[in-house]
Amino acid sequence: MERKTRHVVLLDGHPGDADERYIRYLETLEISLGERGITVNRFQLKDLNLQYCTGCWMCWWGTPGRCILKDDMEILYPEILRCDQLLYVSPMIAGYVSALTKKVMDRLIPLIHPYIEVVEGECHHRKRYDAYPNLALLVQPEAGSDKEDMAILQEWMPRLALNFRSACDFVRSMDEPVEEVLREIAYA
Amino acid sequence: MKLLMLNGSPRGTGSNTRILFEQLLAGMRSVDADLEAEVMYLRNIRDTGNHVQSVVDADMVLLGFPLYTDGMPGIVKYFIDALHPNDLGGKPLGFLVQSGFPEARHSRPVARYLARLSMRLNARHVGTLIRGGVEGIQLQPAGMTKRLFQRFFALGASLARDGQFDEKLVRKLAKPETLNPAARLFLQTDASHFYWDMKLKENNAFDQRFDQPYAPGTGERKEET
Repeated sequence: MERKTRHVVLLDGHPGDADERYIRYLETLEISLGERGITVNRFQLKDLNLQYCTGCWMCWWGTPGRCILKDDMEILYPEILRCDQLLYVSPMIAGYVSALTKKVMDRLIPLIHPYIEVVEGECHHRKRYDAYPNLALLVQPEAGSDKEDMAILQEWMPRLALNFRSACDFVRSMDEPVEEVLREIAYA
Repeated sequence: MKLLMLNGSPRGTGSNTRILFEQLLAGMRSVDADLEAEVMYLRNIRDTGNHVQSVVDADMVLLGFPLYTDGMPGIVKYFIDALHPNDLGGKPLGFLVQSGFPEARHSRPVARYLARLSMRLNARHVGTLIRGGVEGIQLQPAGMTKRLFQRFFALGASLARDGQFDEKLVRKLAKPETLNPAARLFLQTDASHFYWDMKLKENNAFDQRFDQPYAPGTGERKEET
């Protein structure tokens, strides 16, 4: 089935003060997407009240589909389920996404089901909902970032997407022209 | 020697990581009776300053955690972000990644990251233990976990003896890399839901197990134009 990205949820996982380049990059991206009729709902994760997953699994076996931590994830869950693409944006920190970004990724497990089934010959969780957005990752490289750091993220994100019963549209760096990322989103 | 074991499970002392760490430590002690070991729980993120200081003071560091969404739990990343490249300068650093899924395949991307992280931290990487199918071990009778625990014991002994995990044992521990045909067949049956159904029933939540509380079209959904 052909899928066209019309609505993006952008989760900005920068934990501190972003530099000028980071801010400009996202501004340009957002404006350009708007010009193409793609709506963007952007969340600054650092401004939200978000707790770390405690691994209690109540969302799987106590209150199915609902996390017992009551915080701003309750705003994000319905937003995430109604977008076409969930775009994580993060500075690279120690060669990975920020802890803040990973925190939100961990908190998405209420959206899938505990039952395990075989997908592509591997164990994966069953879907809880009929459809999920595709995932994408845009990172700002840090001092010392190299090809291996990007390759690690590029190997990881499609795995994460598979476990989210979805697909990864792209993993890109802010060192690449914003037009490239724009094209990736528009034609995903 | 001062060994620091960092338990990165959000479940803390109730974690499977703790159980596996204990076996590993017993193996290390069987070789090095004078081993001084400290265990810290990263779930207390307010203590991150202490965790980092303990890394600076240790002679060897082991970091263990459960696989969360194909990577380290958020609290573990929080700790990693607090480290400075020289906190581990030249020290041995090893990892344990354990998962609920039985196959090692799921843990490979994070293992690749951990090898790279060791370089970034100027540490001496002593190996990354990968073990799947761990979720059930607290329910299993001793007979079922005996071999697994023996393997961890042997791995601990190899680390204390040789300064790194025995590679052959590391490979054995990680098996299966992918699902075998019998496991695939089993997973296609309702019997594979047994553990979840038992827990759902304990919580009187069995009938709600397919709930979709955030489904689009329910609640306050904004209409698209």
